[in-house]
Amino acid sequence: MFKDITLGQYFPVDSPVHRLDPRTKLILLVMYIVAVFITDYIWIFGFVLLFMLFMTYMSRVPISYVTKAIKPMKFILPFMFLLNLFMIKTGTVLFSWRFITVTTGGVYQALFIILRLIALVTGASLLTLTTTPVSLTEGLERLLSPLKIIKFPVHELAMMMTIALRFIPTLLEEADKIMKAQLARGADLESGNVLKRAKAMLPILIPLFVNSFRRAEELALAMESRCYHGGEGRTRLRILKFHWNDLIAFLIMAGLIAAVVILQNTFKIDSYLAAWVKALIGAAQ
Amino acid sequence: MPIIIEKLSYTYQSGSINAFTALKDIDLTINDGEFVGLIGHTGSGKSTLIQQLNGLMQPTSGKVTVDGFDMNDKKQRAKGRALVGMVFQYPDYQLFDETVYKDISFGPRNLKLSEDEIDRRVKEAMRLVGLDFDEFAEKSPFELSGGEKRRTALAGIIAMYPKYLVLDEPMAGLDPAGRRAVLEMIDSFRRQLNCAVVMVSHSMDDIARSAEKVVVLKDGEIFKMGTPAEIFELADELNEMGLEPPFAARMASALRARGISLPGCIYTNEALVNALVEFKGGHSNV
Repeated sequence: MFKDITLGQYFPVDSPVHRLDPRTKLILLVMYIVAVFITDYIWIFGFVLLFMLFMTYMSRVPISYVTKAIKPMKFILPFMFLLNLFMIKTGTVLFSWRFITVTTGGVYQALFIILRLIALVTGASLLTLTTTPVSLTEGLERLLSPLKIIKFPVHELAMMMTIALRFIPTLLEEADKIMKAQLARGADLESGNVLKRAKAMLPILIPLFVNSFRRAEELALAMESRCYHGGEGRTRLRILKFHWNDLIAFLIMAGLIAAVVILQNTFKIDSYLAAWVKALIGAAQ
Repeated sequence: MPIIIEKLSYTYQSGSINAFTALKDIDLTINDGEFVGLIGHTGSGKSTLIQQLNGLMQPTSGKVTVDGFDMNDKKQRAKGRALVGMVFQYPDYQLFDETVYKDISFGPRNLKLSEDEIDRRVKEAMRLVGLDFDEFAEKSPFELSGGEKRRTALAGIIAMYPKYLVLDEPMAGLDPAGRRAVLEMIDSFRRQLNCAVVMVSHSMDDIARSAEKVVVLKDGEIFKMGTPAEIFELADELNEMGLEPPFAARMASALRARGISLPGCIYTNEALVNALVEFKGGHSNV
């Protein structure tokens, strides 16, 4: 029943993107998000999305895997689109019916928000597709390590993330077994109203929680019996090192940000586009 | 009416590159009141097969009918499922309620029985699994020991009065005394409720003691099916499959190899003792 859910969505191929240091990729994602947010004009987004396509091509991950990330947003995207379409009342009025007013500014802003969300989600998804969860947490731990100075528990946080990721498949499998055990006892999970159905989930949730707590305790004991005592003085099997390809990746990303900034300040053709959208909608009416 | 499995095949993730055929062309009938032992190596498809018996999994192809109810049909499945009681390997997967009493009554309550009938059945089930009502009824199932949890889980199924009782490794993780106790319990309520039992076990000794029919699964196919005597005759083949024949059968074959002539089909300790006594020319008092 839960077998179809893929959480750790790592796509195992070898590519220049896969080989990058996880720290590099995390920083690149932050830079990419900056690039997305400083983009003020819709047409520059075409540029950013083109860059995204290029990165996907470099990573050898099929494009369909990257766009899969948009699927869970099938409700939020139309919602955001309509909200912006009806709430923004700048520019010229295109369409008006009772309390509903659509303006050029609204159309523009709605498209803009959608593109921005898609750009963000596909970017983040490319990171998880090309980086194993383990190296991702390792990279995060190393990146956040300066925070240790202010007593922020970086190692503990990373360890918790690693453990959580490790046990997600175990939990799913266990939930499946528990569900079957209760179905065999005649549990009815599908009929009734929301309240009744929530109540019917109790026989599944309680064993799941009880077993998780027991497992956590056993895991803690197993770790302590192998002398685990936190991050202090702990050495690593694999030591992360920056290579020349990380530098190239940084330069490319810096290039993107520079291009966005320059393009925005040089060609202010955005108003032309707005006029074009207006003309198009006018023609449609 | 029996459980009839016809030409059943099951493929995990069929259609994808990870497709894995767990069961191939299984034909099997489980008659009323029969005790069927199911043995096979890890990964031979035992667990997949028993989950088909009550429709928790549906075959990729083929058909399962429980007392005439077609388990491929969604409406008939619920009726068929009510006849098949299924006890999973680990009691931790099913115990959830505040008290042992409430937990055991979960199944009967789902059958929409009257309160009086539920009460009667819970008491009966607790008696059958050997849990003292006054001591355990109000205890939390999470405070129990491993053996007590298993009894509670078993009682939760027995209280549904299944016509077919399916047990997945009911003795896993129990000590020898616990194993014997569970096996005796299964025997006793089989007689009292007159139900058929399908038991999956790694332990040939346990199967040899109680089963009337033994099914050996190998790589998702029925390798051999027959009476315990017929199956344990094949000691060498079982050994090759990584399944250890019962102690008595191994002992008998070792003795035969040393030139002691013993009759065939020895697979229980009692039969072995009798044969040895006879060989020595004495009289058995076992």
